[in-house]
Parts: sequence; structure tokens; C-alpha cells
Amino acid sequence: MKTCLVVDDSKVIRMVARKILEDLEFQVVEAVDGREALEACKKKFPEAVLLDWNMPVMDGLEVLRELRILPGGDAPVVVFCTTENDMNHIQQAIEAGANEYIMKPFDSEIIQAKFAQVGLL
Amino acid sequence: MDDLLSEFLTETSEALAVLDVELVKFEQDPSDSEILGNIFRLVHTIKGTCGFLGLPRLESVAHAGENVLGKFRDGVVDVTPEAVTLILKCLDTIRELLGELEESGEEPEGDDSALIAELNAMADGETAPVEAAPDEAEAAPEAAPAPEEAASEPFADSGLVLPTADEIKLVQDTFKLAEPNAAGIAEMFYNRLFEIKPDFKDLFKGDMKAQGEHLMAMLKTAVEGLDDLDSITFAVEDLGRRHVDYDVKEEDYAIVGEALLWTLGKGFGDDFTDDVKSAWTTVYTLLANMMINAVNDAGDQAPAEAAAPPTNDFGAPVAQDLLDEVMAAEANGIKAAPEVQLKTEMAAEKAQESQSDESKPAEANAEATQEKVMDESNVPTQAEEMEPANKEESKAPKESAVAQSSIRVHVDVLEDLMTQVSELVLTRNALLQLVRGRDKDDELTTPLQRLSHITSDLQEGVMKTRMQPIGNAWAKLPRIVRDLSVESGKQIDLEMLGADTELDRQVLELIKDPLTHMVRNSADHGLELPAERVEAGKPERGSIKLNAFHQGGHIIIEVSDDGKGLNMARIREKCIENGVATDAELENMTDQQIQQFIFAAGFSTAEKVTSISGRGVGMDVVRTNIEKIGGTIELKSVAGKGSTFTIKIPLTLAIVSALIVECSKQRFAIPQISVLELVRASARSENAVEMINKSPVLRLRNRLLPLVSLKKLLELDKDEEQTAAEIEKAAEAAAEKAAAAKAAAEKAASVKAAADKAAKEKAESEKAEAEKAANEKAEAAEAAAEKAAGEDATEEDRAQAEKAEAEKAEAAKELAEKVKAAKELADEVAADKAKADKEATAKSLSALDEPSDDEMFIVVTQVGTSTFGIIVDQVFDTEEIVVKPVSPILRDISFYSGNTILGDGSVIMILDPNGIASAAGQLDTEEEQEETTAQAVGQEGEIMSLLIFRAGGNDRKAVPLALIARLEEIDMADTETSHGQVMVQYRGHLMPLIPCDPGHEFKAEGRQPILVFTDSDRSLGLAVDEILDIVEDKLKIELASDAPGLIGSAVIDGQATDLIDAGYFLTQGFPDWFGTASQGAFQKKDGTRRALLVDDSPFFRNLLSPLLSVAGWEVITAETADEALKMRELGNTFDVIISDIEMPGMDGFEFAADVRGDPRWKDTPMVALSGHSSDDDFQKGREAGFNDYVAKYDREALVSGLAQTVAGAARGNGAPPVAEAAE
Repeated sequence: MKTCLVVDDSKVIRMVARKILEDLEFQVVEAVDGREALEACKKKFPEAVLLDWNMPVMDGLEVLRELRILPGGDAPVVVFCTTENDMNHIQQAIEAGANEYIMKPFDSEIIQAKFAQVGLL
Repeated sequence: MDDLLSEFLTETSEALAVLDVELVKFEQDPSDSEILGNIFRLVHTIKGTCGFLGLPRLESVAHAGENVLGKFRDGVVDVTPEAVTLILKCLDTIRELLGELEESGEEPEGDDSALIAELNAMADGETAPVEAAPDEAEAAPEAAPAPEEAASEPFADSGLVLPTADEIKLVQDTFKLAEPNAAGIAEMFYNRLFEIKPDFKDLFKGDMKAQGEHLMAMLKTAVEGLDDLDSITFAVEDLGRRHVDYDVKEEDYAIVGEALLWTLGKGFGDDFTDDVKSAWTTVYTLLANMMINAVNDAGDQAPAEAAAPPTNDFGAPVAQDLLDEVMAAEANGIKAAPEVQLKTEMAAEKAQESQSDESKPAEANAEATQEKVMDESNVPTQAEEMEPANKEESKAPKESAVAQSSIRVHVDVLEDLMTQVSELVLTRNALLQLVRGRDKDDELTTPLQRLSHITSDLQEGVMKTRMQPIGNAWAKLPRIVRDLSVESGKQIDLEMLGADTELDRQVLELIKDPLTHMVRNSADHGLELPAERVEAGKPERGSIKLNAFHQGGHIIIEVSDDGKGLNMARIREKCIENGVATDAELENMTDQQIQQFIFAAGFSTAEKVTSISGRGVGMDVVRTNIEKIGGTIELKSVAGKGSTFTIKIPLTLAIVSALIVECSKQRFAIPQISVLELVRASARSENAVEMINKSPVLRLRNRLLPLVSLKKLLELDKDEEQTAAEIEKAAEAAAEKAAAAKAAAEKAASVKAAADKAAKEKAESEKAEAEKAANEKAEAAEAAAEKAAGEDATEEDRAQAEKAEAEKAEAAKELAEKVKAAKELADEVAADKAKADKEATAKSLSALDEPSDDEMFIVVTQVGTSTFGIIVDQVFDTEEIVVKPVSPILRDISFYSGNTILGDGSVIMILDPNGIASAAGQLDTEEEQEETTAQAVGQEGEIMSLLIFRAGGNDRKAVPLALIARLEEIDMADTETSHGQVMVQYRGHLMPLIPCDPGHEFKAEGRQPILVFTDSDRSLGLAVDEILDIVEDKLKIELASDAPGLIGSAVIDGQATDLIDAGYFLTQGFPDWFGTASQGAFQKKDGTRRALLVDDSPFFRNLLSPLLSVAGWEVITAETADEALKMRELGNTFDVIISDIEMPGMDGFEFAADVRGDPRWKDTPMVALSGHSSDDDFQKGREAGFNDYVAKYDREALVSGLAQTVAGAARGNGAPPVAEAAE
């Protein structure tokens, strides 16, 4: 079973993501902010990361950059997930090492589609 | 309500609370990008989450707010108070929507376009051009960081054709024309619409008229917003999305458009020119396309969704069905599997925690928990969020651990738990009580002790779960203060100390409103406007300080401000207005006593009702609320310096530690919170009870403590008297009964005797008769016939006689029984009487015993600032009691705060020290009075020579030595009597002798000690029993007195002493001793010179008036400078004004300046009185306008100074004081 780390400061969104991902047979690990996400990654790299942009303590972009520096940190598939939808943001995210970019609000089908695109499913 | 939604509500409410605080901080320091970042993120999260739940209204409001915040962040828009107000308004709207969402579970219908328009206008800056339209697509409404791009190509990428300015104007003008007939137009429109497409009828259910109104209102908003498309974009797009829910398809818009144009054409007739028509067409097309685009764009953002027909519920919550699945899945236990697997993995712990974090509340409590739930994680999390990122290296892991190890529990669960624990405590107490009487080695003892410990721990633990930091109750205050400061133009700093002090959430809820009210009050009434503050020499910014801390089992919360303090004059007026006190009563009260009146009902001193406070909810409500939870509130206010409210509240309400006492065989509980100490007073101990003015006081460590007898207060002794009286009555009745019975018995006895006699006589006569008959018979038989027959006859006779005998005996026996019964009754009654007598005696004995009882238990109790003792019969132990509310029928009795069940099962009342204090009269202010009097006297100083003597009884009495001319002992043989007045010839004059004690009788001879008061040619002798001593001590009146001849009581030389009022006795000897001062008319009399004495201390007024009167002045006194100035207004004139310097309110210097500044009293000479007499003071006094400056205790100097001053003033013909100072 693949593991997906869901990083979002809103519990509501984590709950939604967990539900969707568990249906897709993912093992879900949650993190409420970037710092915690990195801690989780350092313990064990998940196969996938669903990463929010705006978070307290450490934002998604920083997490992504730090993650990619970590030895083996290029392995997890990171799907950026935010309401920031302009090209500028998307480009920034992709440059920082995101594999895919999802708009909020997402639903099961969107996740499925995107995860399929990046080969997680 | 579903779990996801409730989670959302909780999360968002918390975010809003943080936002309120952060925004206020941010406004103060707009350069703090970190705070702004935090604010932005929170709003952003709210918006993002709304999308998941399908809450378009909330989302659009949050988005507009976020937009503005984004502009703040980018530095495009300046942070102004208006802008922040607008953001706060936006948050309020969100809060409102949340509230409704919570209630109904659905987002309410409504229109926020006005607010959104405002926000958007703000985001575009004030100079933003009309066409600065956003390019956001509906489903991804993110802040556009590059507005210039958007401005250049408005709506271009969405392929919309914008109406020209002319077209807009045309549409708006025609719409205005049509508006008065809106209802008709709507009706026409709908009719036409249904004509074209009858299917539509099904879409419109319900009241068509309301629908029509709604339609016209929307149309109006849209038309009016055409100038600034930004402002209506959201509303229109929203509508579009909602249409999807109604299965409105793209092609339908054309039909609606057709109907609309037809209707307009009909309505305007000839005015509906081609221009108008084309303008409307353009506008309608634009609006329709916006709606269509909103739906399609949304579809574009969701590729998977795009294939689906537009009727798919995109607008409806994405998460809705998802949630159902979540619930279903959880119900089926699906989540269990991954959990087990995880355990083996490295991240297992955390993940599991996070999972249980989530799943537990879902399982345990599907209900929404919008209320603040005990969740420690939130506060720290939010707090740490604000910290700079570089500091967080070490903190973050710890913080997340906290976050993950806490769960949310519904408040009801905790409340239930608390109730159960309360019951457990009661049961534990009952068990302990049972065991108490038993053997120590009882096998029950040990387990019971364990049970007891565990119960206590459990109780403490449950209590802890209910604890919340008081900061939660304060969270709204910064926002409130901020709003107030904007509204009132005051600059206010709010300082909050001890926000992490924890207290029971029940208590917290209850003090929230009072606290808010007090802070409002401080901001509105307390603090002055910046200009006034500068004038008063204070910094421009006012400050309100909140301070919370623990103090011995309760929590103290102080709310203080550095404003102008309470308006004493206004309170006085208001007191009289409201009839709570008379003028005369107020005269005798200290400022602090008067200040307490603001807690009386309907007492707002706000000059005008502002929107901030003064809305009829006054301090009385605050006090009631606080007292409801067993707390107290007190107030200290210093004019010009500010006010401080101190609230003392118990940590928790449910279980309190109480002292159990007994009085008249009844037990009572006194909450430990108010018990200071227990004193056993007896005549022999050093803590003796003394009687002052017929009321008992306890001398405790050189302080006089007023005492209240619980027995008298609760009229328990009355009960006893009553029972005694009843018993006596019963005894009397019994005695009567006994007497009656005795009489009956006597009667019975005599009857018996009579009966005996009668029976005997009867029997005898019968016997005689029988004998006679027998004899006769025998004789006849003898005479008539043979011997044998005679024997028979005799036998018959004997039988008859025997029968009579038996009858007689029976009657006697019956009687004897009756007598016996009567006697028994009499005995019984007598015994009853004896018993009753005995009891009555015992009762009266015990009643007699009580006052003379050597030993008394006194519970020293503190209520607010006042301390008093409650006299009880016996003191038991302290017990943890569970407070049950007082039953409604007893609720009016203020002595009780509740009742409880003791360990032995008995129900007892919990005394309310507050109620007792107020019921016991002036007690609640006595101490304050004492304090202030002490201050008034103590300030000046000082040690004073006092003559201690005894007169009537053993009470020590004192009089200031300065007033006494000589001490004499005269021979009573030398005295004479004239007009019933005892006189003695003394130094060539007749001197009246007045007894100090009214009950004193002059002896015929022997030596009589007297105190001689003298004036130039007359003297008066005050007869006393014994002159004890002359002591030097601080004079500190502890208890003021109303009794004639007494000023009050004080501790002098370590003992309670009555201070006598010399003036009273002087007028007894010579009613005209003080001239006509006592008649006190404000008219100037010939020959007497009038002096106005202004001094706040009643003691000095009393001391100086006689002195001045003796010197030939007519003295009129005033307690404050204000009062003195009032006399000026009334047209009074004086020959001299003597004024104290240190006075509350207007001080002597200000007073002098005022006097000199007004023509009426400008030339009246003034003498300053003060304890201080340094050269500086002299100088300052002279500068202020005083002609002379005299030390308070120097009576010679005062009298001579007065004379000189007046003479000098007369000479100089009221020369300006400055000139005199220069002399």
C-alpha cells in the first residue's frame, strides 16, 4: 500500500483528502504544517505528498524545496494543492519541484485524474 | 449536522477569534509583515475550506476580504483604520453566516454584494478606475497579484462584451423609471416567461410575489453595479452557479432575456426606443454570459467534472456525498485495517495519533461542537504560529505533539462528568461520616481512605478538564477596544496580563459579559479624549489594564484605567435623584462609600447615552452576575487618576470547600473562600469582645472588628423564645388540666364517699328490712306453724342480703377505678408540667447563658474590603461540599447562597457572606470608612495627645488634650445647685458642672474629678469618674458614631476607646457657647464674624468648629471645596475662609485659585490649614491665593492667625494675596 502525506493546516481539508485517498487505497499520514510534514518525510518518505501552499510555520513551497534537497527527497511525488491558480504560482511550484498542481477545491475524480497522470495509480 | 461541517465551524470560529486579535495588532503596526501573513493565511484557509463544503456565499465574502489583504501585503493598498474596519466588517459577516450555518446546517440565502463591492473598491484603492475589473474565474477566485494586467483587458479573456458608458446610463435611467412599478413588471415578466416556456413554472415554487421582489432587487443591484463590474461579479456569478442547481441551462438564458425585453417593451411603450433596447440587450447578455461563464469556468477547473452536464452539482458541496461516505466507512470500521499496518512503520505513532485525533470525535460524538471545547492545542498552536519562523526550529515538533495528543470532547460530556463526580464526592462524604464514629481499626477505614483520595484526585482531574485560560474570555476585547477607540476618537491601549490564568469554563462564561461591559465602561466613561488628557498632564494614549492572577483558591481580575475617575458630583446627584440616599446621608459618607452606589440598579452616570455604553445595562448587572457566581466586586476610583475594579471569583462553582458551623442546633456552611480566620473569644483571652455603642466588636490584634450574631441575624433566638413560650403555654395548659383533673378526682372521691355511704345505708336498711321481714316471717312461722319452715325462710333472707352486699362492693370497685384513672391523669399532667417547667428553665437558662457566655466562636469573614466576624455556637470541620442551588421559595433571602447535603445526609444551608454583610447594615462599607477616616486623620499625622478618662461604666473615653484648659478635682461640698444645674464657684465665676455620663449622679460630698474647658470669661466642668491617663497616640477613628456626645471609637493605647465630642457638652452647659453657630443660618448676624471652614475630615471639622467658635467666630463648615463653592453660588459671604489643603476632589490650592478667580469672594481672606508646614508649602499656598498658612495642630496659631489675617486683609482692603506674599 502506498503512503500519502497530506499537508494542510485545515483539518476539514485533511479530512476530505484522507477520505478520498483511503478510497484510492492509500495509507494516509497527516501533517498540520510544513515543519511537521518535513519531520514526517524525514522519518519515512511517503510515495505521495498532497501539499498545501499557505500554511503556518513553514509554507508549502519551502517544504518542497527542503524536501527535494534531502537525500532521497526527490522520490516522493508531490502534488501541489492550493487556491493559488495563476501561472506565476504554478510555475513557481513546478520549479520548486512539484510533480503536479491541483486546484482547491478538489474532489475524488480530480485527485484520481492527477494521481493517474503522475503514475501513482 | 455532519462532522465535516462541525469541524469547519469550529476551525473557522477559532480562526476568526485569532483574526480579531491579529487585525488589531496589525493596525497598530502595519509594517509587521508577519502578522499580515498570518492574517492573510487564515482568511485564505477559510476561503479554501468553504470551497470544499460548497458554501459559495461564505467563500465570496472571504475571497473579497482576502483580496484586500493581498493588496495590503503587496503594498498596493495602504493600511488605514477604515480599511481595517472594513476587513473586520467582512469577518463579522463571515461570523454571522457561520452562526446561521450552525443553526440550520445550511448556508443562508442572502446578498453580500454591497460588502463585497466595498471590499473590492478598497482593494482597487480609492483612485481605482471603474473598469478595473478582476479576471478571476469563479472556481479559482485567487487574489490577482497583477492588477494592471487585468485592468488593461477587462473581461477580454472571458469573451464578454462590455456595455459602453452611455448604454449603462441608459439602462440605469430606464430602470429607475420602471422601479416604482417593480411588482407589476415582475408579474408581467413571469407571465411572459411561462408563456414562452411553461416548463419554467415548475422551477418557481412558493410565493410568486416574493420571488418577483427578489428578482427586482437582484436586477437593481446588477444594474446599479454596472459602473463597477467588480462589485457585482460575485453576486452575478453566484447566481449563475445557483441556477445550475435549478437545472437552468445555457440556452434558457436567451428565453429569459426574451421575456425580459418583452416586459420592458410593454412597460415603457414608446419610450422603449431601439437605443434603450440595445443597451438592455448588451447588459443582459453580459450578465447572462457572466453567469454562464461562472458555471463553465468552474467546469474547466475540474476537468473530470467537465464531461458531466452542467447540471452536475458542482456548486453543491463536493464534500457532501463524500462525507456521507466517510461516515459510512467509519461506521463499517474500514479505517481499522491501515491503522494496524501502520503500527509497524516508523511514522506509525504520529499517524495513529492523528487518526485517532480524527476518528474519535467522529465516533464518540457525531454532534457538532461549535462551542469552545477544551482543546489545549489550539491556543498554543495559534500562539506559536505567530512566532518568527527562525525561533520555531525547536518548538515545532513539540507543538505538533501537543496538537496530536489532544481530543475534542463535547462540553456536555464534561458537564455530565462533573455532575457524576459531585455525586461521588457526596457519597464519599457520607461514607466518611459513617466511619468517623467507628473504631479506628475498622476494616473499612483503609479502603475508604483510598476511595477518598481517589475521589479527590478524580474531582481535581475533572475540574482541570473544565479549566480554560481567562484569555479566552478576553479574546474579543482588543477588537472591542479598537472599535471603541475609532468610534470615540480616543486613543486606547489595552494591556492584558495573566491571560493564561485558568478558571472553570462555567465561571469563565459568566464573567465574560461583565468583563466586556467593564472594559467598555472604562473606554467610554473612564478615559478622556486625547486633548483632555494632554490638558490634565497625562499621555495622550489612555490605557486600560486587565490583570488576572490566582490568590488563595480564587482568581482576582482587575480592570483598571488611567482616566478621569468617577464623577463624584454626578453620582451624588444621581443618588438623590434616584432616592437611594438623602443629601444628609451623603454628607456623612466617604467618597468610597458613595462610589459603591454605581452598583445600584439603574445607575448610569453617562451624561449621554452613547452607542458604546449607557444603554441601561449598568454596573448593577455586572455586580449581580459576579455575585451570582459567589464573587465580589469592588471599586476604587481616584479623581483624575482613574478607576480600578477588582473582581474576586472562585475557581469553580460546583464543589467548594466550606466550613461547617453550628448555631442554635442548626448547622450551616460558610464558603472557605470568605473565611479569614477563626477566633475563640473569651473574657480571659486577649481577644475580648467589647461592647461599643451597644454593638459587639472584637478587638483583634489592635483592630476593631464588627461582629454579627448569626443567631440574631437569622432570628434563631426568636425561634427558641417562641418554643420556650409555647412550652410554657403548654405547661400552663397542662397545669390547668391537672387542676381540673384534681378537682374531678376530688369530686369523684366525694361522690364515692357519698355513694359508699348511700350504699352502706341502703344495704343496712335492706338488711334491717330483711332481718325484720325474716324475724317477722320467723315469728309468723313460729307462731303459725312448725320449726322446719322457719329454717327455710332464714336461708332465703340470707341470700338476699348477700346479693345486696355484692352490689355494693361492685359499685365501690367501679368508683375506685374511676378515681384511679383520674389520679393517673393528674399524675401524667403533673409530670408533663414538671418536664415542661424543666425544659423552659433550661431554655431560659441557656438563653441567659448566651450573652454572658465566656467563650464565643467567631468566624472572621471577608467580603470585598470589609472584614467582620460572625458569632456562631460551634465550629466543626471543613468539608468539600457540592453546591446545590437555593430552592426558589428561599431565593429572596439573601443570607443563603445555596444548600448542600452533608456526609450524614442532612441538608444544610450555605451562608452567603455577601448577603450577611449587607443585611448586617452598614458593615460592607464600615471598613472602607475606617480606611478613609484613617487616611484623612492619619495623613496629617500624626500623634496627638489625648486625655483618657472613665465616665459611666468601664468604657474608656478620650478627648483631645488640646481642648482642655485644666484638670481639677473639686470638693462636692463646695458645689451649689441653681436651676437644677450643679455649679461650683471657680476663679470668681460660676462654673456649671456637666456629667459626661448622663446617668451620673453627683455625690453629696467627696472629690469629683472634672475636666475644665474654658473660654475667656467662662468655664465649664465636665464631671468624669476617673482620669486615667494622658497618652500620645495616633488617632484613628475605627467606628463612627451617631450617638450624641460621641465622635466615634478608636483604638487608643491598645484599647477600644470612645472619643467624646467636646462641643456637645459645651453647649449643654452654655447653649450659646458657640454663639449662634448651631442655628447655622446663612445670614450674617451683626457683630459676629463668619468663617467658612472647609475640611474633608469630619474629625477636624468637629475639632476646629468649637475652637473657632470659642474665638468668637460663627463657623459654617463644608466638606469639600465644591460644597464651599456652592455656598458662593448661593450668595453667602464670609469674613474668612479656612481651608484644608489635602482634600479629595478639588484640593485646597485649586480651591484658593478658584476663589481668587471669581469676583464674589476675591477679597475674602483665606487661611490654609495643613499638616505640612514647610516653607515650600507656605510659598505654594501664598501663590495659590492663601493669605496665611497654619499648621493644623497649632490652635493658638490658628486663632491668632485668623485675627491677623482678617485685620491685615481689612487694612490692605483686600490687597491681592500675591502682594501680601511679597510683604
